[in-house]
Amino acid sequence: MAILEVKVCVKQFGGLVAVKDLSMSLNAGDLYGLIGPNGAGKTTVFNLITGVYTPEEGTIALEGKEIQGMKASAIAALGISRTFQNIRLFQSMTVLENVKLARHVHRKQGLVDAIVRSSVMQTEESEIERDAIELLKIFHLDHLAQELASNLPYGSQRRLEIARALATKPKLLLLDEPAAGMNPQESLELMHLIRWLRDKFDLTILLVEHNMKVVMGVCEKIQVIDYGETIALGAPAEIQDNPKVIEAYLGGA
Amino acid sequence: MKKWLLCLAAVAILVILQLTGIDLLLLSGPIRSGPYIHQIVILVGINIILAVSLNLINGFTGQFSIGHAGFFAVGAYTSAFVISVLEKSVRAVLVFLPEFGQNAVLLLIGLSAGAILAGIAGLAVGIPSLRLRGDYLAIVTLGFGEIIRVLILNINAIGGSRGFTGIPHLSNFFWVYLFVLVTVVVVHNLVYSSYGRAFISIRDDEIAAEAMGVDTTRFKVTSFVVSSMFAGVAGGLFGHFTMYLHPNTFTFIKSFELIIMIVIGGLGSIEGAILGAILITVILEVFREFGPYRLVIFSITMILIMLYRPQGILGSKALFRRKQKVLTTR
Repeated sequence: MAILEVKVCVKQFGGLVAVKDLSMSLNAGDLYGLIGPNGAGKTTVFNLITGVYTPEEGTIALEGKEIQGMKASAIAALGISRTFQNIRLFQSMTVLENVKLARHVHRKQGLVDAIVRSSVMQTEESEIERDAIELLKIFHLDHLAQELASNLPYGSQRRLEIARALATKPKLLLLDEPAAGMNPQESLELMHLIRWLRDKFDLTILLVEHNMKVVMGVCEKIQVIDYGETIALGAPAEIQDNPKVIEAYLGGA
Repeated sequence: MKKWLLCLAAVAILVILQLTGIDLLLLSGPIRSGPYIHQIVILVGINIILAVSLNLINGFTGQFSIGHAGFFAVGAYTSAFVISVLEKSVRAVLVFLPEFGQNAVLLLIGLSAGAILAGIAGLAVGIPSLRLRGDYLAIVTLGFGEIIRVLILNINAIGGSRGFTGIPHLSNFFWVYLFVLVTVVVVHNLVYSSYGRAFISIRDDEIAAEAMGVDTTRFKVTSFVVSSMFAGVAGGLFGHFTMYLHPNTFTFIKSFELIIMIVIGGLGSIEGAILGAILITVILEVFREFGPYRLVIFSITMILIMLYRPQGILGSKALFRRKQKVLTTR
């Protein structure tokens, strides 16, 4: 069964149709790439899936449950997590706190537990901290745990964003240009990491990326959109030779 | 664990001072102490409660509210009114208790009523207005504070523009500083919990907070209501100390005074709010002898602090930050 099923979604901003009759279907365990030229509507698709925007038409279903129109926080609680194209870490929090925050959706402590520091709260806090540090270790950020997130170098901030997204224990992870601003070596490491994460955490990953090397190297299925419409769908090799895709990227003759 | 001992010790000191009837301030030699200093010390305590609670919403959650005086007023008037209605019957029921016991029960009833009503007011203001951001929220909360004041001016049962007179003297050094302690402990514990992380994440980046599963509206309202409730408690303590309430005490100038306290001390720092509350309350009194120039000197002080220390005296530093156990070994 499809873990994410987007059916004929439409999103308009005033007169501009950003996403037009878009459909996509991700099976559990997919490594799915969404590509397209600048302004094609890729990030809008992400925002639709994560509940930042509500589609005017069409449905979005996670494991058969329709989620369009729900609050972003509720969708996150159902198991969709994401990173952002322009990094959105919590700047005044430490690296560790950034990851700990993401466990918020699974919290058991109530307001009173927090105020009186009940045993429920204390055991939960130490659990959260242990898990957070485990995650940081995977991303080689554990030695920076007490550093403010804003003090990290760019590449580490990107990795921290992924770590934070994983801390919500998602079923579906959306990565918005994870390789942006990375050098070839870093991108290569990122490719391995993405594959490894999928296997280790049993994830389905939807990826938006401009770096073709990364997309072609890591994704098993690719959907190309332009002006909010799907123009191609298939395995990397098929996409590369598709004339429509070449036209979208390089312009018509 | 050590923290609990510290709190217990503080409570014990307060109890001893109360039981022995020693006024800590009357003991001090160099400063000629008296009712004036005593009153300032009480005022400092009440302002600490107000500033620390305001800091929860303005400093930690990052929502700029300037209506705190409104919640302060709601608490003060509610508590005073409830006690004025219930005093006789409660004393009749508790006739077996000594007078200070009766006073304590009465005060706690008044403060609870004040806190609850202020909390309800916070909920009523918060739910519609916390969808707004920045300036818009500031304007709505400012308006709310003024509405409360004008409402009180026009309700005869609580004195209207004559002021509320004949409030029993129930609060004192002990109660004020007991609630200072309660406020600081509650806000501190909240800030260093899952809730606190949610508050701070909203301040840092609302979109990311929402994407990480923080229901931002709900947590803004939570922080607003908790903050209002403590303002209500402060109001109750204030009314039962001064024994007289007048709407003019609760103008927006009071709200601004509180904002100045937390900005001067450092937004998002509990210790900063405490320091700010002490400083501003004392400075305003010290400069009193300069007569009409008082506010000029005060303003210049503010400008200087903002010029040379825009992040506030303590910044967002926490002097007694909970030490984080670091399990990493490197």
